Amino acid sequence: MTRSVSEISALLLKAGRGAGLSLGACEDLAMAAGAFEPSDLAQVAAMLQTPQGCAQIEALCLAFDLGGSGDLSILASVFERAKSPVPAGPRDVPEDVIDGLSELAARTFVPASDASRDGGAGSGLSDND
Amino acid sequence: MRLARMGASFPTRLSFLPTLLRRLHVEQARVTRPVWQIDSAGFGHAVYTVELGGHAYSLVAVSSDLPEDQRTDRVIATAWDTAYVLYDGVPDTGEIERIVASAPKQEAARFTDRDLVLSRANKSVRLFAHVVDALRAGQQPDPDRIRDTGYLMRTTAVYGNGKFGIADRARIVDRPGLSGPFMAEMLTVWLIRGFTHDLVEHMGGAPLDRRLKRHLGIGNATGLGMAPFLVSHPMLLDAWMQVRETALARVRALDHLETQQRDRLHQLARRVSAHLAEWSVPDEAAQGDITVLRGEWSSLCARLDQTLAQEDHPLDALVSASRAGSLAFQELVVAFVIEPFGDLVDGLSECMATPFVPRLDPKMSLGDLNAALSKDWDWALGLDFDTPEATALFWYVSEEKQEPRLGQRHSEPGSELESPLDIARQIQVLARDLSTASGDLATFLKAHPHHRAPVRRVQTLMRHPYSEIRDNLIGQGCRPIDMLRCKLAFFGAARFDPKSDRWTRITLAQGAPLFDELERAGDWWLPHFGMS
Repeated sequence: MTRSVSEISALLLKAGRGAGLSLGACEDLAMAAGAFEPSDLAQVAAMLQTPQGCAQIEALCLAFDLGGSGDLSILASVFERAKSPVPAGPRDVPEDVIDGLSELAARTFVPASDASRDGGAGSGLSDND
Repeated sequence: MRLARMGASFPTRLSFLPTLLRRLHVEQARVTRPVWQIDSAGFGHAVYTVELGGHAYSLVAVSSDLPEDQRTDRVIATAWDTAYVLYDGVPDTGEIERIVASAPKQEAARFTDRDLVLSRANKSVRLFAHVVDALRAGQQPDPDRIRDTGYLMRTTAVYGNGKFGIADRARIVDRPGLSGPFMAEMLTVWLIRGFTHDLVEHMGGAPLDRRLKRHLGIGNATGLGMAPFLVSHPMLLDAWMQVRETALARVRALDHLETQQRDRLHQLARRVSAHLAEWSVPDEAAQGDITVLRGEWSSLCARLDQTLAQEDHPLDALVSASRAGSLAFQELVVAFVIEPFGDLVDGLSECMATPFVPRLDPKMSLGDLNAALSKDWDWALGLDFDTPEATALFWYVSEEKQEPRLGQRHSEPGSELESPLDIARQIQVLARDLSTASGDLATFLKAHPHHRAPVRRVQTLMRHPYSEIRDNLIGQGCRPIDMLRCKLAFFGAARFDPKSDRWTRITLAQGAPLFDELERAGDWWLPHFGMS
C-alpha cells in the first residue's frame, strides 16, 4: 500500500518519540520525510529499534547542521536531498517497515480511561440539533 | 501573542475563505454540476466542478441515510449524513464509483493522490427538516430560524495534506489559487455549502429565496485536534500574524481619510452592530463577552464621525483608543479598519504561506542564545513549574482513537506519555542547563540532545516574532478554544459558539456569495441577516 509523504512524516515523528529519540531529531526526520527512499526508511526504522541506533541518529542530525557529517551516511544524503523540493506523490513503503514504525509510534499512545473518554476530548454531546 | 488575545480573534478580509472567493471572482469562475444522482429522499451523489488557475477541481458529494443514534459531532464518529472528496480534475464514472464507495467510510478507507480533501457533514436536523417541509408546502422557511441557526449542515472534519492517502499539499502548492494555506479545504467547504442549498431545494421541490440562501453558510464543530497545529507550525503561525500586522500597520499609516472611505467605514460599522446583535450563544460567559462587545461597539459608533474626521492618522487613533476596551473589541477594531482597504492589503494574502521550516544553527554562541532567552522568553522563564497549577494539564494522543486529548496530570494516568506541547517548561529546563554550560552550542547539544527542539524554537523566535504562543499550554488556565478560535478566524470563520473550553461550533461562508454571484466576493465581512 502506498503512503503519502505527510503520513510517512507523521509516522516518523511518532516512531522517533516512541523510540526515545529527542523531539528535535524526530522533527528532523519528519521534515525530511519526502526525501526518504524506501530502503532509507527501512534502515532508519532499524536504527530506531536500538539505543545505539538512536544515538547515531542524534549525532547525524547535529553533524548535518554543522555542515556535513564527513561520512556519506544514508541519513546525511536524505537530509541533503530534503533541502530542495522533493517530487510530490505517494511513496511505496514496504509494509514491514510501516509495521515496525507503527509499533514504535504506538508506545506514545495513552490507553483509554473513563476520564479520557468522558472529558479528554472535551465533548461527549450528540449532534441531534 | 497570548492565548487570551488569540481567543478573541475575528476573521478579516485576509482570511483564507474570503481570499479564495475574491480569486474565484477575478477568474470569473463558474461552478457546474455535471452529475446529480439524488433521490427524492435526498440520498445519492452529486458532482460539482469549478475551474481555478487553469485546473479543474470537482467536489464529489455523497448523501446517505444516517440512523439517529449514530449522529455525533465528535471526530470519532463512524457515520455521517454526507461525505465529500475534492477531486483533482473531473472524475470519470470509475472514479466517481470509487469515491462514492470510500468517502462515507472516511478514516476507515484509503484514498488516492487525485483526492485533495476529504470531509463530512451532518445535518442541522431541525433546521434542515424545517426548510424542506416549508418548501414542500409551497412556502419559504421561517426567516428567524434561518437567522438563528445560519447553516443547514456542520462539517465535523475537513482533512487535507495527505491524510488517509489523499494528496500531499506538495501536489497543489504551486497551483495558482490553491497555493495559499488551506485553500483546497476552503474551496471544499464553499462547494459543500452550495450542495446543502441544492439538496434542500431538490427535496423541497422549490427554490429557496436568495437572501435566505445567502445567509445559510456551513457550520463546523472543531475540537482539540486542531490546537497542536499552531504549536507544530511556528513559521506558518508567524506568517499569518505578520500579514495581519503588516496590513494593520498600512492602514494605521494613512494620514487622513477621503469622504468615500469615511462613508464606507460608517456603513461597515452599522453592519457590525447588526452582526453582533444577531450573534447569541448559549454559553453564559461567552454571551457575557458578546454583550460587553455590543456596548463597546455602540460607543465606538457614537464617536466614529468625530474620530474619522480628524486630519492626523484617524485609523491609528481609532486603534489606539480601542486598547481601553476588551480584547474582543480590540481585535474587532483591527479587522474593521483593515476591511475597506483591499487595495492596500489584499496583495499580502500571497505571504500567508511559507516555504520555510525552522532550522537549527549549532554555530550560534551560547551568549547569543542566552541573550535571546532573556529577551523573548521572560513569559516562560517566570513561570513556577513547582506549583501544581502550572503543570495541571497534559496533552496526549489516545490509543483508542489516536486523537489528541487533554488530561488532568494530577488525577489521570498517562502523563509520562504526554505530547511535547509543554514549550514553556522545555525552555526553562534549557535555560537551567545553559546556565552552567560553557563552550559552544554544538558541544552543548551533543551532551544534551533533548535540547535540540527547544533551541530551535528559541532561534526561530529570534527572527519570527509571532512563531510562539506566549503562554503555558499545560497550565490550569490554558483554554484550547483560544487556539481554535485564532486558527478558525484565519480560515474566515465567525459566530463562535463555544461548547466547552475544548470545542466550539462556528459558521463559515455565511453571507458569502452563492455560486452564481461571485461579484459579491469583495464585500461580505461579518454579514447580518437580510443584508442586500
